[in-house]
Amino acid sequence: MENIVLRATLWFRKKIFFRITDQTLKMVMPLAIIGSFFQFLWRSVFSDDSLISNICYFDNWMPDSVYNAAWYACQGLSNVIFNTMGLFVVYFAAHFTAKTYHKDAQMAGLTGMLSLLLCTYRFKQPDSSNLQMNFNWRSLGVQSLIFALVVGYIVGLIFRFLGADFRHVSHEDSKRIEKRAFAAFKPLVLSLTLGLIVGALATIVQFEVVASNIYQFFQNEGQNNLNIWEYVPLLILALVLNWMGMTQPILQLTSNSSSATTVANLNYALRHGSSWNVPNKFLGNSIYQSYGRFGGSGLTLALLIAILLIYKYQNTVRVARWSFIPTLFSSNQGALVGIPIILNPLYLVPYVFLPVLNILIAASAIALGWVPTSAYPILTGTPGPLVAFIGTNGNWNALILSLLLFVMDILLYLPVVKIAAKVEDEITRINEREGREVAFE
Amino acid sequence: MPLNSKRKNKFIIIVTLAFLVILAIPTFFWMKNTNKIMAERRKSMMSPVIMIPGSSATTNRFNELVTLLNKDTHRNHSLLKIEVQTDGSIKYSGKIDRNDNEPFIVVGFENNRDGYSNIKKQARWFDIAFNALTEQYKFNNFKAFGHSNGGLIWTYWLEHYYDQYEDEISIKKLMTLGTPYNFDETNSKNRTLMLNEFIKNKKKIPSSLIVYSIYGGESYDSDGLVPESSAEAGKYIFQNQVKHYTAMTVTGADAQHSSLPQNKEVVQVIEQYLLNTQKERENQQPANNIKRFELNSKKKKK
Repeated sequence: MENIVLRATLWFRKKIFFRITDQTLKMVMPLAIIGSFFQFLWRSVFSDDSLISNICYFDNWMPDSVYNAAWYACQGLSNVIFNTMGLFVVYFAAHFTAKTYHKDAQMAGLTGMLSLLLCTYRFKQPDSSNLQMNFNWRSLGVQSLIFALVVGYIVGLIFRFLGADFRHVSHEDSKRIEKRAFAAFKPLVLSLTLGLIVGALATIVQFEVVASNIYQFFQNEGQNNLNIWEYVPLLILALVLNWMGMTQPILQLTSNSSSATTVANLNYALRHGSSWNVPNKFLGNSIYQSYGRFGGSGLTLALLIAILLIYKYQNTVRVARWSFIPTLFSSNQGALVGIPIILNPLYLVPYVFLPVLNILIAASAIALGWVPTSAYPILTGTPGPLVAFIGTNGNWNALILSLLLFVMDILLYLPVVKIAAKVEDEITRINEREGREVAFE
Repeated sequence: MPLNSKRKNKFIIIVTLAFLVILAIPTFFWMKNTNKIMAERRKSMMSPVIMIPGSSATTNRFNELVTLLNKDTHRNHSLLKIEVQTDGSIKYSGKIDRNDNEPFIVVGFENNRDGYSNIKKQARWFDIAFNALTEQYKFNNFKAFGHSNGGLIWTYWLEHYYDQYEDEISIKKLMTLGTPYNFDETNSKNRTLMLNEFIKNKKKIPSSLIVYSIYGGESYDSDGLVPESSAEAGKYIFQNQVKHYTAMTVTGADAQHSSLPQNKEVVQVIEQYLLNTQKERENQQPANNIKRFELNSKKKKK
């Protein structure tokens, strides 16, 4: 069994696209770690509906100016980093692809950025007056990394077939630079043309409208679907997309905003003093919030603990350490990008199915009358294992259940992390054999 | 893996667990407390009428109106008066009786001058008073009444402050009396900055609100102070945004701007439309629309 998983993972990891993805994500890791740290400060500390600001009564003693300044600073930093992340990802994806084939990697990266911008440009809303350009920012941000990776990869391939062979040297004279620049023309023109076509098509078919309709569907299902068996397949789909680097579906499906169903539950609970017999017992979203996301999607906190406990590659352990605190408060982007978990074939199965397993166990516990439904509202940044406890107004069974599930998740992640170490061993060995330099490990 | 790194990792995990336990304690008390308050608010039968007087008027402005209303309805609504000082502190006078479900609360300001910039300030001061009221009296709905500029303060407050309460407390009705939505402009085409901004932000006014705008007709086009067209301009803000918007003109004796709050017809209209009817009183039930808890810190970002 272990061997099959090991071999399958290796087969994927040898594919150039997955290799490029791995290198690219490791390269933008520092951005993601810093971004998620400030996202944690913004959402979980300096936010009106955050746990920390409420239990520390910031409002009573912290001057408004300090509080607001911190809010703006953290919000700005994390938004700028995450909403432009696609640009850096496309740069490095094109860069590493071109480098693999010994082409001009820097020009490829630059071309990748331009192509991505063209793909996401809003052709119909030009603003000639003050040089403002409109882009579909959703496709430029961390929400759609897969898109940036694919564009970068394709641009890299274009350089592979149309670009001139190239070796990076430490000193370049102007003749060499000129040659380099001229050699970039052909792949540049083709990449930009393709970017233009994709962008124009996206405008014509109103890609943004279609996308927002799909997101709306996810949100609606998350808020109103009372049938756990219909919710689970959607959750699986959203988690797979999230693993691929598309964040929006899972965010919409599990959004924390109040809906008619949750309001009915809450008011029932308020009337009866407990949430045992609320009208909507099996609301997928509330079960997911309580038991399916310890440290953000895919139970990232459990994975990080597994890594800290047994993983031997120091760099990954360091990433796990640095992204630990934000992940504890559910800002897990740093870990998703830095480990990396996104598009890492080994983590697909646990990332998607462990949360589902948790939900099904929790739903059974609710059905058997062991724990009540979570109906009381929770504050942003409540640490994962405490959410069920808070959501049930302090039901001890709910706390025990979530701690048991949490330990189970860590134990189930341990063998996966063991295989991950073996995969790394194997890759190091292959790279040494092929005499290829190991990039950044 | 070096041994000390492994030790460091275990240390991190243990510290995190300890931190979680420490964090859980205040969280537990916070949770019990907010959920209790939330349940109290849901259960509450109180539905106050909150009144804001016009410029240059004090919190005593509605004494006569309240006396008339109490005499007419044979119910003893209690009267609480609150004056917000320029520094944001609050002075109370009067009180709310324990078993009064429909008290009158008048909120006035130390600085009660006219002008759009003062109205914005007064809306901020009003919010301080409202916030204090919501904490002290756990009502889940209320009715609003504003005379003259008081109606402007209500409108500004609804557009800029109400959203932080609407998950727990709903405004049912708003009645404005002789409110100059377009200041003293007689031509509704000349919109003042204030009216334009009110119209711009109208989407923030809750769509479930019922609005009554009453103005006096001393002459054919004015109540002696506010032009009828200025009072009528409220329709540009409320119409097509709220559930119902009704405009009424009161003429005859006491239709002058400053006499309106003592006008017999106005008292009738308030009784009939603003106060809870006999039927509403009998059928009153706890609210079932509490969406979430009250935060310690009110939303400051706009």
